[in-house]
Amino acid sequence: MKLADAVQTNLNTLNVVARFDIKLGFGDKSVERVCDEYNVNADFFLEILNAYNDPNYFPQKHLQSFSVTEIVEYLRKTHRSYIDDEIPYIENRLNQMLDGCSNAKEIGLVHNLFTEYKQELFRHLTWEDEKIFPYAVSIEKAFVGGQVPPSIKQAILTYPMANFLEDHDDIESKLYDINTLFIKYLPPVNKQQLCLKILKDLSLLESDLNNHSRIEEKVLAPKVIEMEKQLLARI
Amino acid sequence: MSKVNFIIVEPSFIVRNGLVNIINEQPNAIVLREIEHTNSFFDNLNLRKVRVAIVNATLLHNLSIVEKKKLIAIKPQVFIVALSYSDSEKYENSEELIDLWLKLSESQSSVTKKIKDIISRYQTDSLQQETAGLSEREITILKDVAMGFSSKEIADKNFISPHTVITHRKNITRKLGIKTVSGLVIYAILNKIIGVDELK
Repeated sequence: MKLADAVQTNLNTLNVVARFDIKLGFGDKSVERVCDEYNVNADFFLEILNAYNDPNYFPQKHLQSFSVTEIVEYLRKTHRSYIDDEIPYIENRLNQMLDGCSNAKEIGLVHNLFTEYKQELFRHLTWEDEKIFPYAVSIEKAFVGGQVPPSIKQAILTYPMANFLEDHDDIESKLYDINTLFIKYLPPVNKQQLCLKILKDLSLLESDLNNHSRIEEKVLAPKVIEMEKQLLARI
Repeated sequence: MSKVNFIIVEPSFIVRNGLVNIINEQPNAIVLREIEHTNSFFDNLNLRKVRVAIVNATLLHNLSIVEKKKLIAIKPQVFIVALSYSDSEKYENSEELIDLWLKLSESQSSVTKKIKDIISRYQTDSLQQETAGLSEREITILKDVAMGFSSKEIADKNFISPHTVITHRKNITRKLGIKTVSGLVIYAILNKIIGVDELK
């Protein structure tokens, strides 16, 4: 399949392409060819694209063809893009809209809601970056190395990946609420065009975050859980 | 879209019927009750969601002081139109009681315009109520949620089961399109259900 076709079916996948550091202008090259050129694991790349395109997609076949380390590397890049680009971008636009707005008091309430959301999101991302991802990588290391150090055994027993799935909350509801409040309940803003852009940004961010969560839950977690099982069986 | 409910209090059968016809011709209005005298007037006002009462001016004038006070008390909900047989009819201190005068001698266009104006006035009111769409109970629960009470606390406060509270919360979220407590707080502030200083 041509990469251009895959991307044009769902423009949200452009984010994915960018996170793999693939530059636009890939012409009529196939997915495999582009992945080859950029030294990206094509199976993994396709897995991510599929997860973006189909909410019910559940990967099975390719489970062994790419490593946890690869997945984690991609997920970390995604986190960085939220922290460094996407959230500050929306925040700036919200500030611009608030500047000189005649209903600043009311709009300010939503700005606070967004700040609240941002803090919650960053806490969530940091928790994954500092706790969950290192754990997942260490499980893979033990799995490949054949040795199960006591610390790993202890880690699996205290907080297995299944717990992560349970604690993995949906925090995107706040983004949804911000959109509802603007569309239905808030007084008009002076900079309506800017407001529309913000609403589109928020809705794109919401769906991107949902796709991102799905990759964590359906690609990363099952792989780690399978390894945990086999590791415990070895002891 | 809900209809604006009228009640007509007028002794003359001919005049009453004429009014009913004019009102029922309007797409968003309906006459709920026609009565000949003011005896059962208050019962009917209280029973139904009456928006507009068209009352014979003489009957209105002959109400006792207590009755007039009672009528003034419910005035915020009901628009009172005095129907006058004479062009010069006027009563002292009637401004408090009467929102609008309608005279038998008025032309067709003038009468229809007055009726239409009244309807459109209350039509927007009921429209706003519909879009919010929360029942009184739901507003109470929303207020408690916005003030930071847990479902358990809300259940105890309102003498209902926690299960009922959860059902109410689900309905509120569905009706408003707001999923989080923080979002509900903002809705409640915007709609003056709570004041900013009431927050826990």
